[in-house]
Amino acid sequence: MNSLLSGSLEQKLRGIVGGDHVITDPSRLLVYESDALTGYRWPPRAVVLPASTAEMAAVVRLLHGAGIPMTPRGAGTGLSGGALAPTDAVILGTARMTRILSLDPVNRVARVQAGVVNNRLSDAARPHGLYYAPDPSSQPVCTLGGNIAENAGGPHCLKYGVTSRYVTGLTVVLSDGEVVELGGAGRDPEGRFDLVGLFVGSEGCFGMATEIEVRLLPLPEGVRTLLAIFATIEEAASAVTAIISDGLLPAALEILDSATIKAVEASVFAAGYPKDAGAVLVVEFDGTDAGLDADADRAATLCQAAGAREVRRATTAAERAALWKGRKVAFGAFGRLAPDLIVQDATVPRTKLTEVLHRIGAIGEKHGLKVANVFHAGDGNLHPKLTFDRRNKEELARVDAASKEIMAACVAAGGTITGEHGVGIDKRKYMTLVYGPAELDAMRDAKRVFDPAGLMNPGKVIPDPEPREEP
Amino acid sequence: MSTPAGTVLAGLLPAEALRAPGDVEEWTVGGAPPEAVAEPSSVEEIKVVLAAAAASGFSVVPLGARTDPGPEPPRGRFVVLSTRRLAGVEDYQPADLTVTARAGTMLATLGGALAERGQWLPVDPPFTPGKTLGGLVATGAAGSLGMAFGTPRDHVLGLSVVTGDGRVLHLGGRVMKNVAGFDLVKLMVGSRGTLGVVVSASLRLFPRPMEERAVVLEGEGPGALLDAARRVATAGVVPASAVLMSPGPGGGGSALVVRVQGAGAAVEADVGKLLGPSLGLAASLRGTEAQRTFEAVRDHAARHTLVLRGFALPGLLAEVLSAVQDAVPVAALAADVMSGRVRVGVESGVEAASLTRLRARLEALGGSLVVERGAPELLAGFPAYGSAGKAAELGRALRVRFDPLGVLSPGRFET
Repeated sequence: MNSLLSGSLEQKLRGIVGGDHVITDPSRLLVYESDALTGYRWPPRAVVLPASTAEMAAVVRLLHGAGIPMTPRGAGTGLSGGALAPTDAVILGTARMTRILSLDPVNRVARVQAGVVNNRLSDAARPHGLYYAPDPSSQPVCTLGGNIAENAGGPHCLKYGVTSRYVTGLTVVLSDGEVVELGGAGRDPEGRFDLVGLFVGSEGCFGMATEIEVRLLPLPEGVRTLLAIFATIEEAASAVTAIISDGLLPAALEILDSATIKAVEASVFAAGYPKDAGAVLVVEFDGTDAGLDADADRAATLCQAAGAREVRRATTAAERAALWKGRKVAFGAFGRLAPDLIVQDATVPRTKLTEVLHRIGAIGEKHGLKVANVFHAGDGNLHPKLTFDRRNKEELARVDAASKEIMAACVAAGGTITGEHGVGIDKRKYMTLVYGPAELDAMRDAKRVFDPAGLMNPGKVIPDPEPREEP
Repeated sequence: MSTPAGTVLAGLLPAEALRAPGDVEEWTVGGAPPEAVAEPSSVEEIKVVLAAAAASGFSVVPLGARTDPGPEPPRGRFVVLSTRRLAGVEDYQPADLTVTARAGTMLATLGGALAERGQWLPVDPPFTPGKTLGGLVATGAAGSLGMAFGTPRDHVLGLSVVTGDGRVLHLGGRVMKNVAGFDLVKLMVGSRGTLGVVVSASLRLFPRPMEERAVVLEGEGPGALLDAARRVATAGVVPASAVLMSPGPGGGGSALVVRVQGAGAAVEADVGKLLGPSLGLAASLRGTEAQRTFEAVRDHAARHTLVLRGFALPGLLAEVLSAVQDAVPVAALAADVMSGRVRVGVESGVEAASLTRLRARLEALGGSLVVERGAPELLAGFPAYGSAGKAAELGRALRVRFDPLGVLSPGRFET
């Protein structure tokens, strides 16, 4: 089969970005047919890889003229299918937009192209005593463009907040090819609409971000990490509540449940967690070195009071890495247990954690599924993991049913359907659990302002409107 | 002649939801008196006011405690919608570090409830305790704590608003992390009553610091303290705030005030670094004395009849200060060393042309100039916010979507 693009359009695109950077060969397009949500396979019509804002704008203008929908894509690590190209869309990739344009240590801002990998920015900032705070688990590979599309989180959000807090400015290509500058670290963020804040988390539906300006933070002077080992998840959760109620503000509070511990310890990633533990809690403090030992002592005491049978402490970087290891590899460790894994994502009020975890356990049991949990306990962000084999259609149906019930349980507890992975295509069907028709209409309105043609990442985030009943 | 707005509303609202006609003078916006001041106590009453405005040809300007009503006079006939009677904490969950309260709740009241549980909302725009929660959300006003803790845009987890055409939207939620759908909460925060009337808001909270200190260095003029301000950034201390103020808290000269927070040992270490030989900051205040200093830092430049807010990258502070001093007679100044925000209280007698020149100089530095408060005559010749190009166009299109009848705060962001 030949290209799905018309010959002249393809030629024009090659003229803009260079011959090698328009991918139409079906075998090469296979790479782009799914993201980290592996349940869907949608091959795009073509992939275009511009190297600059100007090239991106020219490409978008051309596709807009031909009425072709476009889907922005970074590293393809998204877990909600947001970077999949629906209905013959062309993927706008950022693989060639990998330049750090400026890094200003005095003002602590950096400007990067959208394809710069999260960790690379922190690596570049470190010699200046700075780093980029948001740290999604995929940070060794995920791009900042993807991070702003999803408003990415990470383990350290409890103290430092999510991506939107760090994005100060954006260069955006709208669906008609117009280039727009939003915000800027030197511009007063008050006294005008926060279009940067609105754009962050819009999952590629408002436009294509090509350049991103972010705020950097000074590296903390010191870090202390604790690992507390508990017999039950309830004890671990009560330790988290005790730590927060005590007025401590850890940089991270992460819990792994027994199913996750067993998976990690049985894998090549074994982190030395006790296999019979019901839960482990990672607690991290950072800041002025002089205060950290007191904070860590206090947290250790609170963990012990909550029933911890052991509290391990790390001070050196190597010791820290050892304590974090199991958390960092928690998803990969499931690879040997089942062919497929769904990592769910939802947030509940922290005080409802135990209740919701029980509910999730019961839902798994009801559907005959294994559910393991890793979560950002400090901010109530849960990641239940369901293992299955997608070749087993009957099991797949049970996974779908359980996922839906888990979402409903989180919403019923006062939470929401996604804390950091986004809606994409996977969770559109759950949007009505949290929003009514008025809110969904308002979101559609906001999209129309940025993308009146409806060409940017169609079919994502917002469910199709209910058909109106005839009077 | 059209029927006066007060008469229209009197026929639609209970008596207690309308202020006496004699009271309206103190509710002027940009020098213009409203025809009436409505004080609805429910979403239904807000919808009644908005619908009446659309039907009878007047507009609605939502206001909280009037600490920052904005300098621009509304275009045409208008009423003020005060949120005073929409007050009270609805749901406070200390163990979740979240609270939900109605728009008219005073921040002093809210702060008191939070303090009882050892928590706080770390925001300090001018006149903070006297602001309402709705006003904080609508203005998105950040203070000097913004760089360390985030601004209202980061703290607001969810909102209930009534749009200009009377739709009630429940946006966001009550959890710390939420990416379900487009972030309309961010759009609403700071939209200053142009997209909707804030009814209630859910916020994330922080544990109160165990201890606070004000580390102060006094000097002749703000320029003399710039070096010290720069060294704070490299001293290995991450302060809660650092502000150059003139006059100093004592009423004369200038001062650099650094706010240090934390547990005992960390505070001692940070204060030591700031007071040490390399920085030479002079005094460390605690307790009431420190709090009084922070209040002076927060409010003193905003107390004047003309208040400007300049902004540029913090590394350009020297250039911004000299541009300000060249352009206007400065009565009081507070320069946030961490964010680059410079609030200037100005003596009277400033020409629009001077402000135009100042704005041009700040824009040439990549910055901006906003008028927070000023005489209507001055603003007739100087737009309060300045232009924002395509972003302004997108903003206007969003207004049409959320307020299709143009009922809310016409004139805001336009003059």
